[in-house]
Amino acid sequence: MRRLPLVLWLTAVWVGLWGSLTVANVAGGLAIALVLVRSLPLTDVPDRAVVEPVALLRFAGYFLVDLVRSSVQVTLLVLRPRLQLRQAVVAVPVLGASDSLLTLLANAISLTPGTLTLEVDRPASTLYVHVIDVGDDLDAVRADLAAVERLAILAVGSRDCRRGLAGEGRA
Amino acid sequence: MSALDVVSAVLLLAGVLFSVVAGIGLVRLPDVFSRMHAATKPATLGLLLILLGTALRVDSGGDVAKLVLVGAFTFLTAPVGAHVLGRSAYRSGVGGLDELVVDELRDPQ
Repeated sequence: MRRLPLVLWLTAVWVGLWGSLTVANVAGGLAIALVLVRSLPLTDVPDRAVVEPVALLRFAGYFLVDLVRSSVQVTLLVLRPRLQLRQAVVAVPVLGASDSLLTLLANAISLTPGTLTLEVDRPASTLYVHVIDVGDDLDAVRADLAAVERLAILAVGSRDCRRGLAGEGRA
Repeated sequence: MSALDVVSAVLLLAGVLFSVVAGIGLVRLPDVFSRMHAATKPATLGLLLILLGTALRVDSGGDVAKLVLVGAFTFLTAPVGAHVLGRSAYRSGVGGLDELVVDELRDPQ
């Protein structure tokens, strides 16, 4: 059953909200999850994401470190006596327009240092990212974004994405 | 005071600090876009630290599970909210767009 991970996740949320692992809670959660999944079907995501657990963990770790870095960066910006920002909107081309990849990436970019996803162009597979302070070096920002993209592709990218990455010599 | 209390207190204080900074950022930063940065990053980290600090102090595993869920849903929703707000602001052309050094959404390369 393809919806099994979703059912398990919903059951886990239900049990978590009740706060105790009992047979009744699990059964109740499972019943409600099944009804929800049956009655409110999600749209099918056509692309087959290939999830690599190790790479996904590496992505999560990088992401947590980045969250701390970005918070410290915004803190320093905010507390600076003279506030002067050089803001920019930068296009980030993403290899292969896979929906799960674009979603993961758009979310990750919003929580990493100085960048916020502003617009998604799905046909062109491009994210438009707002940069709070580019400093003098726009290329450094682009390199940062490319690094996040690479980690995201290694974690959940489709085969085509991975091939593209290898083709550019970045795998 | 046990070592756990100290760790928990440090986490709570750090969380409060980041939350305050997020608030100050909302006031000090000049436009919608830069304010969204303050509303997502330090606010998310601040909440996360406060949740961690609290999780160390509660006794039942059930309460920890609830805290974990709060954290997970914040992670999933905060960036989406910021993205939607930023996008609508950009599309409706509110203030701050003139100050962009580069705008590749308006001028494709």
